Amino acid sequence: MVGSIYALIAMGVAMIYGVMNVPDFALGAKAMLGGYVAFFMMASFHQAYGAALAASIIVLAIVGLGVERWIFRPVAKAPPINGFISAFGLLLVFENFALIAFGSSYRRILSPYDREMINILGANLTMQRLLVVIIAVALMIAMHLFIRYTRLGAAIRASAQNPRGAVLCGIHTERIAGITMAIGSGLAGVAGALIGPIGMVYPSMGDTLIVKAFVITILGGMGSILGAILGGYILGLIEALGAMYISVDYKDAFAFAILVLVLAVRPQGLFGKA
Amino acid sequence: MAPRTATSVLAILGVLVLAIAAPFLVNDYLFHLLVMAVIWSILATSLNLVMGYTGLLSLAHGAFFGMGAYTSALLVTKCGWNFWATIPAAMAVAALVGVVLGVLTLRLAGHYFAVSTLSFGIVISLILEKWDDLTEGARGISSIPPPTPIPLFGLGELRFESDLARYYLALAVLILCLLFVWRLVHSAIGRALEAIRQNELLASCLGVNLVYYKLLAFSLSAAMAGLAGVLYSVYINYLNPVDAGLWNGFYAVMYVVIGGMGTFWGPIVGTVFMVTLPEFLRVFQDYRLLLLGILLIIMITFLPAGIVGGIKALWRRGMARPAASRP
Repeated sequence: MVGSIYALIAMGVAMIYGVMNVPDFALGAKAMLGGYVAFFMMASFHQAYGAALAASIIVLAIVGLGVERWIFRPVAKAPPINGFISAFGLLLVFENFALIAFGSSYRRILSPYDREMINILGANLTMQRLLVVIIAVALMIAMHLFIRYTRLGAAIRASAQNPRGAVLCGIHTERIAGITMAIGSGLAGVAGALIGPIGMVYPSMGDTLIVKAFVITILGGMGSILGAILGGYILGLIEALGAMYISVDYKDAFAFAILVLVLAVRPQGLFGKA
Repeated sequence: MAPRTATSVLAILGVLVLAIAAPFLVNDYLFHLLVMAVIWSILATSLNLVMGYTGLLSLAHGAFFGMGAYTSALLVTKCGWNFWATIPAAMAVAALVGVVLGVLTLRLAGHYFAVSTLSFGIVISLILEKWDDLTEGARGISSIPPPTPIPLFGLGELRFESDLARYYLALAVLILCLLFVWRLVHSAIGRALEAIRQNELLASCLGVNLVYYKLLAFSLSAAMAGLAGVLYSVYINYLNPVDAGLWNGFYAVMYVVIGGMGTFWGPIVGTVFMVTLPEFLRVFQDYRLLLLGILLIIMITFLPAGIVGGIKALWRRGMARPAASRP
């Protein structure tokens, strides 16, 4: 379940990194914004949870487009570290915007699916948790098909593999970057809206998410979308098992310890190209 | 950049006098920021050594900072060590951990290295938080005593109870660190590091031992970051696992990049600028951090080489014509 959330955000990180070469640390904050969009759609406008999810994707995709155009495009030619600083600035902007606009209190998205319990193979879980997994997996499959089989998907892959070659083939790489950013941000937004009913929505909720998403992208191999997905589930499993069999206190540390160990053996990540 | 001319010597002396006189010119809160700026400058300078001069983006410097701080504070409060004896211990611990981390991760390229150091930083702050018996966990270590007085034979002793004394202590350490970095980057080692930054492959072909020099730079830098942490612990008198967390590492990177990566003065300019900036944004109250973020984005967009880098570029443009006529 947690693995699905991680995998969604990590996919965004991997795509944006692949195409734009920017480590977008603000994606966690975008997940947070997505959570708020869903929260207000339901609390203020009394929309169904499904509509709230859709709204968080759309709003965040628009945010992503704007961010690419006004913030990352101007620094595209500077050293990569500058994109990193811009993303960091953006993180400050988003988090403090949320803090001012929505306050620091924790909010829970009241999903109708959170109270229904179901039993699968002897394990009890709420419908919401199942829903998270189903939606996340559906999105992943959709993304995979999109990237693999559509013209736009091919253009994104081309831009990631060789930006100059893509330009020579007549691909408008800047527009592709915008689209990638929109998709990545939309994925983060829906991840935030999905976790809202289980965890809580609050201004700094994106911090741990994004750090773990980065660990996953690195674990899976930078820029590899399949790696991001598998990495997300591996991390979710490791955390759950580690918390159960080793120590709850150090739950968050396993991921990072394993990352350092994996990289010491396989510097290009599990699924990365050498 | 080299202080060859009388002007630059004068400029440095001017800054030095200003730094010494500064505590008497500002109010209490600005003075606090000033002390923080000096301590952060040490951290930023240490980070610049690996980031600016060697080209390794490390996000673990917050952790080295915290480890130095914790080592010193624990040795003083729990083992009753003399403060001055804990400094080498703290630096050694930070350097040692730096070596271990370096051995594990220095082979990694670019962002892989950055994210590994980031994870490492998180592990360190988690350990500090969860290892309750040793580190007091999330409660943190409180009432860390000020540095032990140094006896000046026949002249009383040098005491460090006042904030002013600790400011001068931090300033003195900063100057020592700057001198050290200056000597280092202008030595054969510095040239080797520069070669690695510019072109790793070429450097190794020319016989530069990549692993050795990277490890050297990384551990020296970690030790210096630990030193900054020690000063922080005796100035604030309180430590908490957050002090070793990833935000400090992020901030340090931000200071270095805003000031100008790979320039000698950049880390200090960036730190002083970014530490005091929120104070000037105070009129905006709650919107302070929001504006800080926006400013950060604007600055990095229009001054990609940082403040010092930007000034140098302007300077060069201004000097280009007269220089061309010279032989």
